[in-house]
Amino acid sequence: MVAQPPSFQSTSAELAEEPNAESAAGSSPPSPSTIAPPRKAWLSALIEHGPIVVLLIVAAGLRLFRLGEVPGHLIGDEVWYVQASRVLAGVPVLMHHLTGSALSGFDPNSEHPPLAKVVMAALIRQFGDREVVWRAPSVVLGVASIWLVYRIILLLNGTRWQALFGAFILVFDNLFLIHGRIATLDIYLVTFILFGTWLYLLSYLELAAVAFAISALCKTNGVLGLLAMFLYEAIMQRSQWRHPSFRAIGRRAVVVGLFVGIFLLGLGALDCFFTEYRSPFAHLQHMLHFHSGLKHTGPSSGTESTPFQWWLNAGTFDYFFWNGPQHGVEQHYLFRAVMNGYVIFVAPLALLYATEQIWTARSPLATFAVASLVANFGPIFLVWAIMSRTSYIYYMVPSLPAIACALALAAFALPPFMRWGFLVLVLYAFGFSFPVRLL
Amino acid sequence: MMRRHFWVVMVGLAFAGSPRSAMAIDVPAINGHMTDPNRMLSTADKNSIEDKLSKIQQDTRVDVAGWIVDAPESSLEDLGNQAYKKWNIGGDWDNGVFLVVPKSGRVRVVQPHVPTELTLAEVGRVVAADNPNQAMMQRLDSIADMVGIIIRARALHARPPGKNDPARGLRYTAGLLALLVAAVALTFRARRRLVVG
Repeated sequence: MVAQPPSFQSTSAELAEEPNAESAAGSSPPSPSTIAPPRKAWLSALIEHGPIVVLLIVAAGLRLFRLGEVPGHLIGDEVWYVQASRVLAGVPVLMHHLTGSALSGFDPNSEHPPLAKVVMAALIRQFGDREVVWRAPSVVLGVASIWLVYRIILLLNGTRWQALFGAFILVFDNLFLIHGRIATLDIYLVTFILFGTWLYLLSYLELAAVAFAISALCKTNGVLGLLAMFLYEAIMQRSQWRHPSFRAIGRRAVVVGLFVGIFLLGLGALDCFFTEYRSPFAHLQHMLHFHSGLKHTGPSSGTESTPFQWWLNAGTFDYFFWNGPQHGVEQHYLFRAVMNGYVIFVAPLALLYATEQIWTARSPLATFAVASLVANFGPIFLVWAIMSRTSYIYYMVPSLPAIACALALAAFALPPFMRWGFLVLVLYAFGFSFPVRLL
Repeated sequence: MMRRHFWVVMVGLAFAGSPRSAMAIDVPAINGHMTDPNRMLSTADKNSIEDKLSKIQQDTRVDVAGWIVDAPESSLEDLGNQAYKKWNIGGDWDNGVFLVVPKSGRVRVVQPHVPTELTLAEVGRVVAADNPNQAMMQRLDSIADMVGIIIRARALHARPPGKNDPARGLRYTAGLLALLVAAVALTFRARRRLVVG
């Protein structure tokens, strides 16, 4: 059993305004009799951190494997974001996936906030226009996101094994892997959401607002991270609904104010330096207009798919399919947008179990898994269902940490042989659908 | 009798020398960026020219391919167009430069896609770079280098600079920094209150 960090109890206790809130269970300092006998410090550190370090090394290795391939080619939505970063960096660029009005130093991809592209552009200016340069931040953020999920599960009263299980799921999920190594916005979005979540659970609420705002400055869905935390707190503190703490509510109002203020001022600053907009509201209006215009009706076609399909791992497509430099040579390079089949097939059951655990065991981990999924997947589903918004399978990337948490919870309700068997199946599916391969 | 044989031979020669006989050359199966059905290049030379043309394609996303052919100069254009179509040159990005390199005579540049990648003057530079008296590999190197120089210069160029508003941006940044300081101060104040409480 992992001792719960005091900071988490602080947040919940503050909301409940009672020191003995349920979430504080087990928060009392260990009595002398329960303190483990002294052990060599390095051995303790190895036992405690060794497994996650190994997982992170494996994750980094998978993300770095053939990172620079295929030279001269862009993978998936890199065609938008790398091209935009090149224009932002002012380097010579081919006019592919760019409008004729693109201006050097300006972000031509104004349907998204510019922060992630500005980061890539800065790296291109500093280290050159190369594949490993613009993909390097994704690798760092992809690995960091796995570590954050590990820490978040521990903060949510999860055991170290559960935390490792959740991290394992993300290391070997194919879609999470590929977004952790290509230069798109999603991994920026997810990692800063997770960073904000971690800070929030540590009771650094205002700093969490900063992290969520940074996430939203990469992709506007970052606001959903804050929504997830409010939903999480609302469910956890449902017994206090009738007697809310106005101090706690006031602090959340400040958090919202900080989030909005930092997002608008940040967008305004980025706009004045890197776009044609001089006001964040004008840019927001443009983004709203652009995204509300992306509609698809009728059967799915091409890369487009429906949120229902994603739960069956359908709607997958190839981010990149390359015939090789030589015409007629039967060698292909493939990057595929597909989730780990066993992870997504079992996810609904795990989420149902988590929902049940919210009501029966008042589990923080279960609550977070469900709240995070509802906050990240719910709005995407609603805009698809109500507005026929075009949707793609990679919209599941922000929901994958929630699924990993639910699986970490559910797996430990099963006999060990089933848990280990599931991990073997995950590895099998990972190998089977490995998204970066020569055919 | 002799007169009849004379006419048969003359007609035969006429057909043999006509473009029709050149058209009888079949377009072979494609074999890389530079198709060389008669194996006029060594393996090392073939790999070298493949790498060069592949790099141009990677850098510029313009499909540059060629065919070393033993055919009369008058037939090169037709043969080039046939091969271009059959091999689907430029199919990926709707562009392409196809070089028909005869064993004797200067290279012919075929560009059925509209707009063409090379202007007439640039085609002239490519043809001028070809020296039919040189060995085939030297010729190919010169041709590929010239095509690469022209297409790279054409394809890669920085966009004209946009006019930003740094003064206004700095005002936003000042406000942003103030909020960030406030966030840090508030979060530690709240935590201290919790710890003290």
